[in-house]
Amino acid sequence: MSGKYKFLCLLVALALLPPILGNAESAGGKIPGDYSLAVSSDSFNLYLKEDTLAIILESRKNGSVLYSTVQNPDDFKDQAAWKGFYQSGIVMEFIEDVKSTNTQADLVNLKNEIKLTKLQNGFAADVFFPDYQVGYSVEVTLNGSDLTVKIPQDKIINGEQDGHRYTVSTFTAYPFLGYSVLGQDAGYMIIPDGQGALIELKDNEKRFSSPFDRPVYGTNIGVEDTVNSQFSVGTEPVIMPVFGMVHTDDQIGFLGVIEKGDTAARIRAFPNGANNLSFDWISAKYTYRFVYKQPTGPSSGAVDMLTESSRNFDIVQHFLLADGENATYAGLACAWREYMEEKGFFGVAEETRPFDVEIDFLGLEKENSVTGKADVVMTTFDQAAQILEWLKTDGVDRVSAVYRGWQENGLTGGVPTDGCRPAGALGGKGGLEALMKKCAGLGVDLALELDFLSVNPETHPTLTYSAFKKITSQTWSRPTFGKVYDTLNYLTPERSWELALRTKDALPSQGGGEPGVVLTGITSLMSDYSYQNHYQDSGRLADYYTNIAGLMRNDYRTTLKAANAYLWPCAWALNDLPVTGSDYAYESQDVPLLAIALSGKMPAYLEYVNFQANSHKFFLRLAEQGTRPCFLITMEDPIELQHTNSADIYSSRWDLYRVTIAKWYEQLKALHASLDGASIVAHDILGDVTRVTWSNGVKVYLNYGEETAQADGQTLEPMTWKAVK
Amino acid sequence: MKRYALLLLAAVLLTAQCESALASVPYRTFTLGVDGDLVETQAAYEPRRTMTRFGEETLKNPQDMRLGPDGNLYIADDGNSRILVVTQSGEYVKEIGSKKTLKSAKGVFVDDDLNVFVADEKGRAVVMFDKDGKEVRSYTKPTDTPLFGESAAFKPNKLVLDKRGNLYIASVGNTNGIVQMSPVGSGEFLGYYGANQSRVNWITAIRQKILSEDQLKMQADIVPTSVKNLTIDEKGMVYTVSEAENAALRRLNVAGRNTLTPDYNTERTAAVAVNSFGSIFTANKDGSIMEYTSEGSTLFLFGATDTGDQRVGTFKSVTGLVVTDEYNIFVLDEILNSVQVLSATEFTDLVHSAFTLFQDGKYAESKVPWTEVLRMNSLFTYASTGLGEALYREGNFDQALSSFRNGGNRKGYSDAFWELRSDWLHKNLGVILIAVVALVVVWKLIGLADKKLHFLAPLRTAGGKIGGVPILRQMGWCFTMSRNPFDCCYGIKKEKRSSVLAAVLIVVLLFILQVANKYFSGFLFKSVREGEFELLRDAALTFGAFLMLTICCYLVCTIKEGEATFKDIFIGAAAALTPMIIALPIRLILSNVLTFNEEFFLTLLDVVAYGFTGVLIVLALMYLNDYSFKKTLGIIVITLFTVLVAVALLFVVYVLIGQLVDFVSSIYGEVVYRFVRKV
Repeated sequence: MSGKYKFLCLLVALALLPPILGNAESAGGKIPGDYSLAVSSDSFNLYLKEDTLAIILESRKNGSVLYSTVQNPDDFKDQAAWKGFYQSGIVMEFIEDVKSTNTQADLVNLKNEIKLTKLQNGFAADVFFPDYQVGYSVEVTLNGSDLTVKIPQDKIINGEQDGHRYTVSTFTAYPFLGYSVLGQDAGYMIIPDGQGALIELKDNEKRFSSPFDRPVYGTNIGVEDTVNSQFSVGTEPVIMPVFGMVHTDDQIGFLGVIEKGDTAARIRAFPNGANNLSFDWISAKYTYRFVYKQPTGPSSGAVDMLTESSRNFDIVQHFLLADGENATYAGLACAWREYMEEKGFFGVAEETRPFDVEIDFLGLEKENSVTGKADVVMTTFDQAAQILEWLKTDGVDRVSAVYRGWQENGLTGGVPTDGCRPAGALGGKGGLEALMKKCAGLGVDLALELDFLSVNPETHPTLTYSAFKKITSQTWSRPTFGKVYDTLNYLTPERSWELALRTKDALPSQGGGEPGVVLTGITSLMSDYSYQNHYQDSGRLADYYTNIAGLMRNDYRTTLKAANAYLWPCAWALNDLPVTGSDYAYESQDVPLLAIALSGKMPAYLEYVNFQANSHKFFLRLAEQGTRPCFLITMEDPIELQHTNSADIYSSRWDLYRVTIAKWYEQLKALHASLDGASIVAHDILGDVTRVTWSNGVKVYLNYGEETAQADGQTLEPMTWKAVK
Repeated sequence: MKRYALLLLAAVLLTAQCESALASVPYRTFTLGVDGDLVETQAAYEPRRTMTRFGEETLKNPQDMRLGPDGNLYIADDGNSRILVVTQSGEYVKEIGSKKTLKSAKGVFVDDDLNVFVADEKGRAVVMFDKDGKEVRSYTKPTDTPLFGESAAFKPNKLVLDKRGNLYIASVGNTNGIVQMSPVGSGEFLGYYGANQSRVNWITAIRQKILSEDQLKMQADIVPTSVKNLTIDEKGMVYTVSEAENAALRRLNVAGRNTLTPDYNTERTAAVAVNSFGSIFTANKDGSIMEYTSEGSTLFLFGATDTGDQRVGTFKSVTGLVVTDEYNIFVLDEILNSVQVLSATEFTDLVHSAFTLFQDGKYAESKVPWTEVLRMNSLFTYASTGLGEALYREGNFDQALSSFRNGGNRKGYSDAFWELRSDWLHKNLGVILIAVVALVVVWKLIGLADKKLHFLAPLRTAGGKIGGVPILRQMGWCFTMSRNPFDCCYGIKKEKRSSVLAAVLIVVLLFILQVANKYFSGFLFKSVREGEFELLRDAALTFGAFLMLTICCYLVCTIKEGEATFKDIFIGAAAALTPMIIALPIRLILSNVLTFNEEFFLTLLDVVAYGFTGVLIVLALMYLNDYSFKKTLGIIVITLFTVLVAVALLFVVYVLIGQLVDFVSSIYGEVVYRFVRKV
């Protein structure tokens, strides 16, 4: 190094020294005396309070900290149970005999013994509660910006004392990490609602009485009663096991990612005011065992029962930490993308699939007739081939075609998929093979929709013996509100697996093209169930469904519909992704956390364009997220469906959508050509204008407002977008 | 109006001016389908925002809301005894009244001069404030007239004001009607206006006959429901809503007469609003919002109850509703203490623009937007009807017929069908007449030739053989009932000229014809919903009713010294049904070729067939049992009563068995879970 450069380095070092010293001092002020440094990574310091396993994470870049427990508990007049909860690092709950309310085993209120072990990159602790003879082990490690908490199942101790049985029920790890008090910090919580949503950290003045509390991967139908309403739209299920907290003023935040235990977890976000607490906090809660009501008769009588066995999983939860300019939802989504890439979530995803549009054909439905059920033919195989040819002539040269309702008895009568029996009314097996050949010639990827979950009890009465049963051994069913078939059942995972095996071997070859399937049903269910009169946990169901998806992945281009995250490693592409969340009153805005994380890695198609009341806004959303459109198409007018169970399909006629498909394709194809497989690296909302920055330097500006707007010198007309290199 | 509609359409189709975010909608939106049932459609309105804080002010148990001429929202903030005035975007403007001047604030109205009238229920008065918030006067219970009623309550809950300054006050507990007061002095009582009707059914009628006046007062459903909320449009028509479904929404003219019959109502309706385009909106307590056209046709039904999820666009207890001319909906909730704002989607803007043209009679111009609406939703019946009208006026009856059918518009369908049939007859009448004449001539010639050559003899022989088949002969005997009931019955009873099998076949034939009539009648005269088939129910009804009636009749006859055996009654009853078997095929054919203009023929046919069948049943019972006419009528009444008792008994047995099964399985379940599986 020359003398000149040495001098420059010295100047730089001198310039950097004061802030570093300053941070150290301020950090010193932020770390209470009863905490000690447990481990340091190149990005963060981890401090530990040994008696409660509370931690503090300190950014080495800017000195900001995330506390895991409330620092001044005496300032709040909460019940002792809550105080114990928010002063403990790990909180366990256990069940005494079969009592329906759990006992909280925090590290403040209950007498406990902690045996601490220092690890190279963290610490481990064996925790035991002698009064109840229950305990667990926890391991906390910090690697770079990844704080990992592990609670192995084989170290969990259930106890017996004085004739009582104590069964470990739930765990929550660092629920108050990054908590905030009544809007004292600027920032937001990230909840996995829809594609992601933010809850702003502000004083809510007790407007929100209850928290966001949702099971990961949707309602556990084997345990919880589902409300079936013809009039209301259910909340969006949680398909991604993530949650987060960002302090924008301190530029520090984290994204909690559940690696193991996701099948038994709930994400809970408490805006201040909920449950009469003054804090904003967010966490995941894992349940091993629980007490439920076992009905004893068809209409009355019930006894409390403890689940027959424990759910089978270890808890592994990551906190992906971010500081500085990365401490935003977009930055954390990028960190999640890297995490998923490392864990093999995009193992078979077609990262390089050129931009295309998904066209879903609806083949057959059934309606009532004097003699029983009559066919309602919406699109034959020949007609589908014709439509694909027309699309080609219209300039839509890349299409992913999906055939729905292609089997005997049609869309709602033909479930579950069992082998390959294309409907004769559509052209039969010969017609399907001809279509596949045609698609191969046109360069169209054709996939058949397969549903191994739903079972129509009228068309498949024998399969109802294999119907999915709740843990109370009652057969699960739901009303369809349709005019032809009244109820719908599900199959047990065991039976679904059998059908998948049979179907895989029966599907015809693609006639030269690459064969494809779209899996639906199993992709969005997570539940405990009863099989042969014994309790089966959700993990077993997830294993079966992973095997089914894996089985299909091996031989087919497998697209997963509205799929839960644990199945993504089996996906070539994802479709039917939600465009919005559930719009809870406490949400401040929707953010495309999911689209950012998938961008450049996994082809993603949004829900149908057909049923959007605001198609212009929907188009902008596609351009914003880099996601792809999906149209449901029929040759016949959907008025033909009005007396079928698909009467909710009210718009799908090909000749009315032809122009729209070509127009949207042309515009979005141009955008994707400029993106060239890049990923989103930043996402900013600047009033009505949204700015999306891609990794190849392209910036997309979108004006959702009613007025002409300007951003970064770009002028945008209302409801328009612009891509700038 | 037309210009507005075209501008709106242009905006929707070309530039798509919209609000910013793509909102999630927590409810499904429905419109009325072909048979009056609800069919799903795109979201008509989407929630935009929730307003809970207005500057530093919040609401407490708000009860009513109005849109002032100044564009501001006037909220009756009952918990704070004041009127809170805020802008549509939620900015605080001012407050009127206080706990000193108002004991409560249940209702509010703002006149063109921005005077504010407050219904103070606890203060038993309507208090008027000027635009600066200064109390001007108050209107209390009219005491100078006996017409008001001494015991009638004056607890103003909601109110409106017409252009002449007359007050229309909904008073709690006063079921005489809306209290109408003039602005003169402290308020002259003008009379009661537009009282709701009580529900009168046959049970009520019996009660009114047998109960005393005091007892009647205690019957809640005899007292008419009181008005829950009201509003007034630019023409001075008063719109009222009530919790009862039969008076959910009414539009009262100057005389207080209802001029609106909505085609769909909800219960617990709590608020109503109209805008200057005549669109009527109601909201029920649970959050179901309805949009009607000015004719009372349901355009959209949407909204959902907050079940604890705290989603934007769900409600707990709606008390106020405001709709602007831009179709922004403001919904006041007394439990959430909020005003939620919903705005029309692109789809709804399109529907409104088409409707405006349609209502103005611009059918041809409405064709384009209706077609676009149908592109977005093929099941939208109003669009089909609108398009049908446009096509009808173009003379395109064929497509109009199809559109009217899709829209479930029977009147339009009838007109289009009449035109098409008329065209067809015009083109083919000559050919038909020639064909008929030719057929007659050929028939006559064949008859003449056969007389000489007997070439039809083999056919006659074959016919005779077929007629000689015993079962056909026995069925044929039953058909003689129409010509000569006495001979027929004599043959059944004494000569055994028919059989049970023949009777069963006749009932089966009747069932088949009934089913054909029920499901394959022409669109105009079909009585069941399209796509609905209930064959099992039909069969159970036809065969069950026949069997039950014949068995009960036989039992009654045996007690009443009747001579007929069960077999005689069974066959006789089947024979009495033969006029129906003759009439039903004719009915089926006619229903497919007639329009509403010729409906009389079908009605006549029904009257004749049913009447004749009834007469034959009476005669059959008389002859078979050797009863007098009077005694036969008595037997029929007792038979019907016996059937009722038998059905009731069967129902009781069914319920008892169900409860027994439930009880046993509960015991078994408890034993299993408590002792075998050891909880």
